[in-house]
Amino acid sequence: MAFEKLTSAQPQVIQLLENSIRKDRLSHAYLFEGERGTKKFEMAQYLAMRLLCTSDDKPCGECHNCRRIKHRTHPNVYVIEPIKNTIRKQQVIDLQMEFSKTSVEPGPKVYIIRNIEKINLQAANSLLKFLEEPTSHIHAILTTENLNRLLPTIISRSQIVSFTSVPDTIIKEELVEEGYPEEASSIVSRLTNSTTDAFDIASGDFFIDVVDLVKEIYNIVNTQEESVIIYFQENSSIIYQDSETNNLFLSIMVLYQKDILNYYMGDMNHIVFKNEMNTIGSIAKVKTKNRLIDELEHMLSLQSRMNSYINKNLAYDNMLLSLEKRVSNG
Amino acid sequence: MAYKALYRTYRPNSFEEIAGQEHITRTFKNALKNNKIAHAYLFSGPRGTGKTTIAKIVAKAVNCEHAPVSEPCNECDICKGIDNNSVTDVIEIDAASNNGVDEIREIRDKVKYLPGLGKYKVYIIDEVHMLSTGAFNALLKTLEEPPKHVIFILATTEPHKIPATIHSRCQRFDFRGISVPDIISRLNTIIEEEHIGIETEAIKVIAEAAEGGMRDAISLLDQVVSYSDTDVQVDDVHAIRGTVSNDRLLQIANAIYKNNSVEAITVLDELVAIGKESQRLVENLIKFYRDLLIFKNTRSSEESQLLFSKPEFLSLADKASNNLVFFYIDVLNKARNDMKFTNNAKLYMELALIKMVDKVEKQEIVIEDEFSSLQRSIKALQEQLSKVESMKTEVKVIEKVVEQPKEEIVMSKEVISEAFDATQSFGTVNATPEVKQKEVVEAKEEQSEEPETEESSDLDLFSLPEEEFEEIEEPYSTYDIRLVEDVLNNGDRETKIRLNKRWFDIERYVEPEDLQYAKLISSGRVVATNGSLMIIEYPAPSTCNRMMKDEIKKKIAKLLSDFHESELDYLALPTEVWKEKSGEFLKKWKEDKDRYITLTPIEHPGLKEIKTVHHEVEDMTPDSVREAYNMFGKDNVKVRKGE
Repeated sequence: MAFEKLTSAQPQVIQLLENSIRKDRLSHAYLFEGERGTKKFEMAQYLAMRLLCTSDDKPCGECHNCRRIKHRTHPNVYVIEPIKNTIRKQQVIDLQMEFSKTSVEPGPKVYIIRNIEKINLQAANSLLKFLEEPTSHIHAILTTENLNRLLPTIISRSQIVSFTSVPDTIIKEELVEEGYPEEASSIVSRLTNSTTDAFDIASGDFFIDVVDLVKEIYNIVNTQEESVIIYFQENSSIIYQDSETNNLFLSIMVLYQKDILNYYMGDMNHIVFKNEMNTIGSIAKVKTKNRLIDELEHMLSLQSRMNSYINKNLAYDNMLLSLEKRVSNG
Repeated sequence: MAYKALYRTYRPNSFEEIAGQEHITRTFKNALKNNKIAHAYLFSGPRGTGKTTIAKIVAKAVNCEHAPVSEPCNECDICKGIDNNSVTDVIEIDAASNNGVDEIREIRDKVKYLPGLGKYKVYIIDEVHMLSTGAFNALLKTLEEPPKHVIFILATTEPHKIPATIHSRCQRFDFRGISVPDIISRLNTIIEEEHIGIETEAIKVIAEAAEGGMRDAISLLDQVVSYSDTDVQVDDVHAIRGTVSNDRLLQIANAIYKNNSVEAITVLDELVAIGKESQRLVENLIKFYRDLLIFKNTRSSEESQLLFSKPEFLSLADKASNNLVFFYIDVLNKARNDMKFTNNAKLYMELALIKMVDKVEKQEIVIEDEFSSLQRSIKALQEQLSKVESMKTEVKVIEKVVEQPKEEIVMSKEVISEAFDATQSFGTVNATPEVKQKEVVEAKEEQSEEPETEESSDLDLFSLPEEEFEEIEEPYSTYDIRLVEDVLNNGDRETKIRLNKRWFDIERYVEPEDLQYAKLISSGRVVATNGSLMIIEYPAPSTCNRMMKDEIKKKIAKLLSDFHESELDYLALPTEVWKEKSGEFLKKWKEDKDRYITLTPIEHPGLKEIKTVHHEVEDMTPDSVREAYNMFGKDNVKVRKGE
């Protein structure tokens, strides 16, 4: 079967959909909700294929219909994606026009709206009526990464299907299988929930450099042999080159800090930087728990502010200084 | 025909079937029966509360062949026609898609044509808040004075977005969220009709999860039925909703309470591993603590929440203090806000758990809690101690009385007062200083002499038999409860009001040198009086002690009497004591309104119980005698009637 990965990633969703079809209780509107990289759109296509596939083992992924759905050329499957980050009213009206006509091909009609949270208010409201009482044999599949940003009236009109994030361990295993080192794999697996993203990060040009930078920073924080700020000034050029590397650096800092906290609490299983046990241990001995928590919160808030216009140099200096201090103010 | 979602299949067809919203269905039934239908209605309320449904029922009822009726028959051609959208007299407009002026103009133009089949043309305009301003204004005129055969029903979830001019032209109906029991009973009807196997607990979980939206509830039921292979279990509902079962929440809450962060995080890991999202978990936990707080403070059992029946929950509610729960909720709320802007939600969750287990703020709260509980127990101990003390003195008195009843009756204060009462009755009230002097000398002499001899001479005064001796009425002490009883039983409301009216004027009335007393007076207030004696309430016991001091009391009583032009005496009581006593009085009074009510004695650690004799009598105690008391101690002095 062509959808093994989908089945293993989202067994509950598959169960729900298969049971619904078997019992002939397929809803007219589904809302697929889950983090990035949880294969929501793949699942939507899977459902469309499942409904339109012509072979016995549904969906085969190989028959004419399936292939056309995959290539988005099937006339019964209508996909709406945000244009310039929004879904406009015109798109919804086009959809309604399209679906008010008799279909060219037999079988149910399916429309998929990706990232429904990007829909603007007018468009969302025009969708409401159509969503609630469509003409027969129409199935709506909406996908979203953030349920909280949707209108409650949209949510209540559809069946919500929660997609679970891919567990860290699975991502890690896949990376290790591909020949990435153990430590790097477990770092990457904590950074993302999507396997594709994970491979991108792990194979990135600067990944190893950034990890080394973080390790060295904490090493200096521990030994206090030289100033972290000066070391950072001299070696940090790689993280300023683009925002992605920048975010990566901060995420790894967060991971390391979390490790120290884990060590402090005696939670050894969750430590990611297993090779750095000595440094982690001796930092954990010096600092108090509250300070570790405060530092971690500081990093996290910095992380969320990174996308706004702030002076990154100063922000990092500030962060490193607070890490370096032997006696905390608070 | 494709499968139709349950919430569409079970859209109610009559007012009877509608869950909740009695205030609306009743209005409509009566209006329809009496043929008093307005030309424009505005329905507002949250999602899934029946706005569109009631609009459709109204449309059917007014056009039904049997009209006027309170319910549509659902059998005549018109009703059926409306159900399958074949009657052109009922026009459903999606205002969100048709929100321009042009669409509204079209309505305006078509309104004048008569209905085809029924009596009325019913325009149901859904999501009316999406109309543009121009469209609203274009509608105004038509809405105010439509032709006789037209009814407008506007439905919206956001009534605040609708101009006031529209509001004032419509009859407005506010739809409420549907209560959990109502949802449950409706779900049960559906379950019976559809022959669905489902656990009762699962129904409850669904109803609670719907948060007042019937469509949400039925939708969820639909989904759960589709999901599960056999009968629906509670876990299926949780799996579908992505929520966390109460048991797991309890597990985390208990781990946090026990300050075991590793355990809490392990549970979190397990939950994440089976596919629960951190965001959901935070929301669940917040709701859990909210329930805990509500249960803790109200002990409401009528709310049929499943959670409230778990023993672990009950014990947790007993243990955790309000402050602690507030702190937890604060931490979780912050975590929830932070999570929205990150892809690292789990980390925030872990951090929140760690913070809940030990953070400086929490330690402060814990210390505060311990402190207050310590305070409470100390207070309780003190009370017990003072009780024991008072019992001790009582015991002593009794012992004394029992031990040496006949010879050497040491004069306790009671006896002194008795002596003076006796003296009074003998008519030697105005004893001259010389006489007093003699008395003292005699008293001294007697002190030195053997006690037996004097017994006979004292006999005429103290020849009361032993039993009677105990029965002697105790004289009034400073804070004698009998005074309070007297005032309360013979309360004079009018005098009290009169006194209080001018109460603060006393500061202006008195001479400058008495101002301090006036200030003292006006810092309290009269809470009861019987005409001559009043009870003045002061916040602090120390003020009362001061007020009751002899010289001050005399002075103040005089000031008050002069000022209010009537003979007044008073008793100063601290607020706590007054509250306690008046409460007790009220309680007893309710039990039996005719009886003279007696109260328990005043006990207050802050009050100096100056056990002097009744003030009238005390006035009579000569200075010389007092001096003697000071010199020899009260117990050793005996006073005899002068020759």
